Formats: sequence, C-alpha cells, structure tokens
Amino acid sequence: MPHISRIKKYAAFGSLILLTVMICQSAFALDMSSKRDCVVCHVMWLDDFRTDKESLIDFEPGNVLMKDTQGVVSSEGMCYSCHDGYIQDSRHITWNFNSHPTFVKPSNNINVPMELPLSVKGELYCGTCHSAHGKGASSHGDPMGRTSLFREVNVDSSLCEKCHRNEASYKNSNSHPLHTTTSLKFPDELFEPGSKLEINRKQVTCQSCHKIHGAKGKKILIVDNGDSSLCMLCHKEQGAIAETKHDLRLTLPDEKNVKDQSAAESGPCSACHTPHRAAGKKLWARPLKKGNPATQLCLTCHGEDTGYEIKGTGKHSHPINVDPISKENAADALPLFAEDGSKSPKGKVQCFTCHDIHRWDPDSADNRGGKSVEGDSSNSFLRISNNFSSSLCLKCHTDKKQIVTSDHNLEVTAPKEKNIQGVTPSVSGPCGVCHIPHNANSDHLWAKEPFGDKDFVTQLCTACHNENGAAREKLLGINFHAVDVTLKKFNITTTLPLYDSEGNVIPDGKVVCITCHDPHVWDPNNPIKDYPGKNVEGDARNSFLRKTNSPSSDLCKACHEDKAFVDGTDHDLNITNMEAKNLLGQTVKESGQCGVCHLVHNSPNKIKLWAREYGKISRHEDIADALCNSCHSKGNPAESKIPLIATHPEDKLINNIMRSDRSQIDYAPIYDRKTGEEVHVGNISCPSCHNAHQWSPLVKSKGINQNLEGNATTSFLRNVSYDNICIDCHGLDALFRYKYFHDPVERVEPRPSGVNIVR
Amino acid sequence: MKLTFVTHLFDITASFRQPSDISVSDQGLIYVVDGVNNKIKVFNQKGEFLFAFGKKGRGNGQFSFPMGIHTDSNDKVYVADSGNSRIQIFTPSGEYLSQIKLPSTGVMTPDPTDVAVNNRLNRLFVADNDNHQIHMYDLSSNLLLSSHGSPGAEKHEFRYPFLMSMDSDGYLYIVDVINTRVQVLNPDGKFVMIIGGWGVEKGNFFRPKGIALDSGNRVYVSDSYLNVIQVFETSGEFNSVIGDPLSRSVKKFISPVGIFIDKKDRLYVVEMFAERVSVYHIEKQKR
Repeated sequence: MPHISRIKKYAAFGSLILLTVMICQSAFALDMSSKRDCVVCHVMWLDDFRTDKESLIDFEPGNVLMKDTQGVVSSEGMCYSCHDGYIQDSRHITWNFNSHPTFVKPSNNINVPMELPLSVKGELYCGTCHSAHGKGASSHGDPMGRTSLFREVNVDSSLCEKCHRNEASYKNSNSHPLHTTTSLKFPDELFEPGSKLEINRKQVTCQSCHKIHGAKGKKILIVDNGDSSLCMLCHKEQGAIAETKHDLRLTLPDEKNVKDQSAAESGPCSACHTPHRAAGKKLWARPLKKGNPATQLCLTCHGEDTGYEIKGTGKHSHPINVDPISKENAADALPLFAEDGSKSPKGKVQCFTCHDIHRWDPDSADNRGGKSVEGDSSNSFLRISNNFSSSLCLKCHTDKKQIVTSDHNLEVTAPKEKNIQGVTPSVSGPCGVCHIPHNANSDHLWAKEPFGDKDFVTQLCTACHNENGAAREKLLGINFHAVDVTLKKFNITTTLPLYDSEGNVIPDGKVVCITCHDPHVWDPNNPIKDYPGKNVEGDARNSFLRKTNSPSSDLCKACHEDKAFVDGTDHDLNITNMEAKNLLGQTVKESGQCGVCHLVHNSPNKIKLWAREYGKISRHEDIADALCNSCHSKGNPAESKIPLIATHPEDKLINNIMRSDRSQIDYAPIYDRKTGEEVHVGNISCPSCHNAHQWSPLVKSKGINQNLEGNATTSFLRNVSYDNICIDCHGLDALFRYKYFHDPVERVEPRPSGVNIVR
Repeated sequence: MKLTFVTHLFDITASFRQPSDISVSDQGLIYVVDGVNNKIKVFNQKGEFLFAFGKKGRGNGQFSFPMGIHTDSNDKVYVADSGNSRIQIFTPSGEYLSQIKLPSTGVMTPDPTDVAVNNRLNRLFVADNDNHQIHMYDLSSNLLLSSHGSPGAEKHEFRYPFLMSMDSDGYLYIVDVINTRVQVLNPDGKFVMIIGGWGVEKGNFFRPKGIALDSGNRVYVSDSYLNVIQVFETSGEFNSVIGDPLSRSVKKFISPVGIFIDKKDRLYVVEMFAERVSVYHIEKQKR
C-alpha cells in the first residue's frame, strides 16, 4: 500500500480502541499479525507464557478463553494501560473522581440482564458495560448511542436502564421523571461538569445528573450535591430554601430521611426529596401518611404527632382539602391541588395553596430568614406577602377586600392593637388582626382574646367594641337593638344571617351583631375609592351594614318588612322634611327613613329606640303619644299636622284582648301609659289607631313619594272598616266617633280638661 | 533474572491527580506534571513542595491535560501541553516564555506528549502521539525543521510514540508504545536502532511508557502494565530489571510512567495510578 494511503487510513482511527478493532478486521500494511493486535489486550494469549522462560508477570489461565467474563483482558489495569493518556487520555474522565461501582455485586434493587455479563464472582466489572467487540465507539458519543465501546448502544441512557429498571419506571417507583419533556431550561452550568443532553435537548436522562466516570459527587453525580447544588442548577427557584427554616441542616440536622441520611449529609433538597424510590409523590423522602400530598408533605413535620419542637398548625387552623371560596379567582392567583397532589384549577385548597415552602420571603429570594427568626405575614414561606394589605388572604376572600379601606383596618384606626401573637396590624396585615391561619384562639381562626360574658359570636365584636377595647368609641350604649334573640317568637323571617352561639349561620339562629353587620365590608354597594386613611364616621349607607338603609330601608326591611312601607309616605322625611335631624344630627339622607325615628345603637330612649326627643304630652296622654308628638308638635317637623284634639277620655279603660293580633285588620294596640309596653287594658293612644309605617291600611306597599293629604281611608290609619275597636263600646255610633275623633266640634263628648289642642 | 537494585529514598505526594512525567533541572528542582490538575508542581531535592504553576485553560501559562516535561541545560522548562496541541516554555520559576504550536501534519489533531531538547545542537523534538510522528524544531527560532516517522511498525515508523529521552550526543530515545519498543533516532532524525520487543519476558515490553538514561547512558524503560522498569545497555541489549534490595526480587511499581535519573543517580518514578512520585538511589552495577 502506498505510504500516503496508509497515513490516511491509519489516521482515521482516533484511539487505540478503534485502532485495535480496525486492525483486527483488516490486513494492516505492516507485518503485524492479527494475533498481536488481539494480544494488545488479550495478554494471556502470549506465547511467552507457554515457554520455560521466566516472565515479568504471572500467567492467569482461568479466563483465557472464557467469553464475556472478567479476566485480565478486561481488568482495570488493562484498560488504564492505554487510557492513561499514552494512547487515549481518559484520565480526567474515567479515573478522575468517582465512577460507577465495579467489583461489587449488584444490589437487590438492580437486575442485570443476561447480555451484560458479571464477573466469575458475580460482580460488576468494566466488561459488564464495555467490550472492544461491542456496539462501536464514537469518541464523544453520537446520536446512535455509540460511545466508549459499550456492549449495547446507550441512546439517552438506555444502557443504564437495562439494569436500573426501578429508576427507569419512575412513576412506579416514585423516582425523578425521565424522558419527559420538561419546562425547565437546562442551564449551561449543568453541562460544564459533564451532564449530557439527550438527543432532543429537552428531556432528562440518567446522564443529566450522573456521570459514569469522573463524577465529582457521591452516587456518581456530576458534581458534589452535598449542598444540593446539582438539584438547584435546574430547580433554581427552589434553591431559595437554603438557609431558611426549611433547610433542615439548620433546624433538624440530625433527622434522617428515608435513605437514612441526616440533613447534614443529604443537603437541603435531599432532606425532603430523594430522586429514586421515594416514599411518595414529589419524591418525598420522609415518612408520609395517606392524604393529599400537597398537605401531607407538610404534616410530615408540622403534624400534631411528629414530636418535633417546631411550628404546628394548632387546633384551629385554616381549612384544607376544601373548595376555594371562589374557584375562578383562586385558581388564577394561587395553586389548587388535585387528589394526587398535582396542580389543578379544579382542585382544592391545600397547604401548598398559600405556602411556597421553598422560599421564605416572597418578595426577596435573598432573605432566607434563618433558623431563629420568627416569621410574620410578610414571609413565613407565603406565596404572597400578606402584611400591608393582606393580599394573600384576599386572593380567595375577595368579598373581604373592603376591609383594607375601612375603619376595621386597624393599621389605620388602632395601629398599636395586638393580636394573640403579639403583633401589631402593620405586621399582621388587616386580616391578621382578627384572624390567623394557624394556632388561632378559636373557630373562625380568631386572633383575639375573648371578651365579655356573651356567647362566642358576640365576643368576636366585643373583643374590640368594649370600654377598654380598640373600638371603645363605638359602643352600643344603654339602649340598642335586640340581639341574642330569635325571630321566631316575633313571627319574623329574614334574609339576613342568623347565628348559633358558635358563629355558624343557621336558619333559626339568633340575631347577633353580624346579622346586620358584615365587619369586612364598609359599604355594601360602593367600595371606598378614596379612603382618607383615618377614622370615617358612618351612617345608614355604610357602617359595615349588610344592606344600605338609605335611601331606602333595605336593611331594616329584611326583618321588618311591613315597617318599610313607610318609604315614600309622608313619614318618609325624604318626602316631607329632608332637613330635619334626629338626635345624632343626621338628616334622613344620613339616617335612612328608619333612622329618623329609631336609633339602633346608643339611643337615649328605651321606647322604640326613639331617635328624637319625646314630644310633650298632657296628663291624659300616654308615653306612646310622646313618640308621635316629637314631630307632631309645634316647632317640630310635622307641626302642620297637629290634631286639634287627640285624646280619649282617660277614665274609659279599654280592653283590646280581641283586637291584639298584629296580623288582623282590626289590630288596635293598647300601651302602658308610662312604659309604652303593649298591654291589653288601657287607654287608646295615637298608635292604637295609626300605623305610622303604612299610609293606607288597604295598600300594603310603600308610598308614592308624594306628600299627600290624607282622608279616612289613608292617613296611616290601621283600620278603615266599621269593625274597629270603637264599636266595642260605642256600638253603631262608633263609625261616627271614629271619623270625627280629632274634630273638637263634631265629637259628642264634652272636651276633657287639659285637652291637647294647639291654640 | 538479573536485577538492578534501587534503594527507596522518599515519596512525593502532593495531591497529585494521575501525574504523568517528571524532570529534574540541573539546579536540582524536581518538576512533576500533575496533568489532571493542569499544573506543574515543583519540589526541592528533599521532595518538599516549593511552588506550582499553571491552571486549566488555553491562555499562556495555562494547560489542557499536559503529559510530558523536559528541563534543558539552561534550566528552561518545556511542557507538552497535549490538549492545547503545543509546547510551552517557562523559566525555572514557572514564568511563561513562549510556545510552539504543533503543525497539523496528520488527520488527527496534534497531540504532543513529550518534548526533548539539546541545547548544544540547538534542537527541540516533539512526539506527536496521535499522528505517530516526531517533529524537529530549531530551538532558537522555534521553527519546524522536519517531521519524522509515519504510522506503522517498521523502522522509523511509530504507533503512538510517547515519552522520550535524549543522550548527551543528541540521540533521541522514543518510547513507541503500541509497537512495544524504544526507537532510537540520531540528531538528524535518522533511524538508529530498536530496543526491546513484544512480550512479557525480560527485555520485552507490553506497555512501555517512560524512558531515562543514567550517567553511563544505560537506558531505563518503565512498563505500566508489567509494572516494572527494565535496564538496557546503550547497545540495546537487555541488562536487568529494577529490583528490591530487601526482597531480592523484581520491584513492582504501580503503573510506572515517566521516569528520570539525575546526576546523583537517583531514579524518579512517576507512579500514575498511585498518584505519587517515588524516589530511589540506584545501586551501582559492576560492568
């Protein structure tokens, strides 16, 4: 063969291995025997061992002809004698740092197939994977998986998976996913120490993390992963766990994972996750109970019975495994989790919904907190900082958003107030003043000490609304609307919520503060857009009322439906006297129609929680008349509507026992003249004949928003029929007397002394 | 089997990672190629660490898995920077001076594995391992003068030439690894003779790696598979095998590669797999 041809042919062989193989297959131009080329590795085939001459090494006959078993030919020394750089420099690859275990028996987790032979001792050896007679070589590997003379091609770790079947079937063995297209971007740093990309550069293979030879880490990981630095190359965001409380090297350094590794040994990631044969989903490396992984993983340490001296969730904790209040909103903002712990927009609230357990501070990956720092609502592994405006809570509890711009944001109205954790509103956030998600004081995640002798649901409010509380300026006063009562005895139904003593809404519950008030919503119709950041005085249009009570009496109407007929009548001061003010100085616009006459809280008057000063009455009149006289008297809003005579002879006691049914048309209440309580024997007074809330007894609806002149069928009369209480005494004369009761001329009786007539 | 006994003096271990070659300057500084660490480590005659130079890279003074080393009569240090296909030249203290980039004379990327210098003849020789050639340079100008050899097993042909040594007359001794021999060229690159042969008997090689000449121009050749060092006469005739004076038997090393014999007849053996340099005194033989 011409010289130049030999050069070309020869130079095409990149290594001794190739050289050996090719020489064995072709007639080398030189006087080289094929035997010699084989003996390049098969040293025991040398004739030198078959002479009487002394040799420099001993003859080892046992495996000279044994195919596919370990022998001198496949000893490490033989491999190294060429791969030490003198033919092929594999020093920094094969014999550098750590390599796949050899000369050991496979563990019980490994199932070595027949085509990959073990040594005569049943051990792994170089020849288990490699053979000069294997599937060919490519110095840096090629798409066909040919590299390093493997016995089988190794396309995307296919050779590895022949033995490591458990790891390959990762779904069955709770191992790190393989061959799945990942959304993670493989970082360049991964490949510098030797990670190999699979063909499509998108999927994880064994060799993404492991390096068979020259691995710098234990378990032939491409780098030392004692600090989880390898994990964090891909899982960068989760790397923020280092030096946080969830870095168990700091907090539970001696605790061991399921692989019997202490946190100090395993590093921060592997303390909780192990890439192969984990205890459960998420590669969980710690004991795991049944249940949704997105919660149970947390309870591994934070459960009640773990024995760890770390944060527990307490008896009263935010519910988990429940549907979010608003799935649409929650799923957009925070993750929900399906039964198997995977994220799902149709899933439920779990611990992971609020917590990103890998990151201490949602606003700063650099703030790791550390071992002894007590967390608050701005960190604590929350997904969203919850301190200034309780943003995290309000992602789900969207109906509570108004609290931020209301007087119930104690950061504005009581900045020094502390919850049971001893933190102020600026630390806890608006929600955290009254509610804490874990270790709360009671149901409703209550974060305040109970106060008062009422039941729990009332104590929620009196915790602040007491004489020494944060809301001491906003108390109920002596006279206030009935609470702690059921509506059944009043034969009233309502659309407002009624509560049991534990704060649960039940149909036949009691009226409590939060029946009328929603403490989270200042204005049920119009959220404040320009909250001044200071205490705002409320009125019937807001004040945390569940419904506004002005310009119509919607709130009161929810229970007192028949009283709301006052709207639009002459007794609606929107119609007849908009400027008139009640005892609080409120006009009808501010107080609402009801508030003109009734003060739900802090009324100085016990009777009907009267909102005005009682009118003057004569000695013949009842206290009930004083309520009417407060307007229908000189100098007051209804001074143009003062009857010339309005009293019934006082010594004529009347019994209304047959006319005391409120639901009947002939209802004619009689009142105790001093207390105003309904009685059955007494004198008649204004409200005996007049229902101040309904313009016409024949029309059970609100007024027509006009100031009307009344007649015998309207004028807030209770009854327009002949069958009224007058007939009980006056017989057939009753109708006449009824019609002319306020007419001093037409009335048949002599005027009583001291009659209340305006002169 | 005739033995040449050596007395163990000391070992040098300095966090080596598969060191490959060694040279001792006329000043007595011991230079060791710590190739996987990409460093040249320097020791005194007691084997005490003095300093190191080099790191991984392509720049001046940086290395990519260097293999061979040589110190000339001016104590300049020549390093075969294999992965970077060049020879780098340093001062005795490791300061970079210059470099020689190997020519692409073959199909394979140039793979310099050793360098030998004769100041008197103003020659520098480089073994291009993967291309099976020996390049001869003008030492002053660093210009390539000629290339010698081709792939093969005939005279003046090579299969993976590796470490080299040069005698005082400028004759170049080249370990021809896969041809399992040492080939000797004269200062002009002409073939002179072959030492050794194929086999595992005395005088033969299986994986010859390192070579050194003693003050009497005897040729010492290490074999990293047989784990022995054999001694040959200048004529190429087998002389002996290095032996252990205590056991009175052949001394076995752990993958011995680069070797060096200084003026005090101290034998330095780089045991690559053991990651150490073992130093011996050669007991004089009777001629």
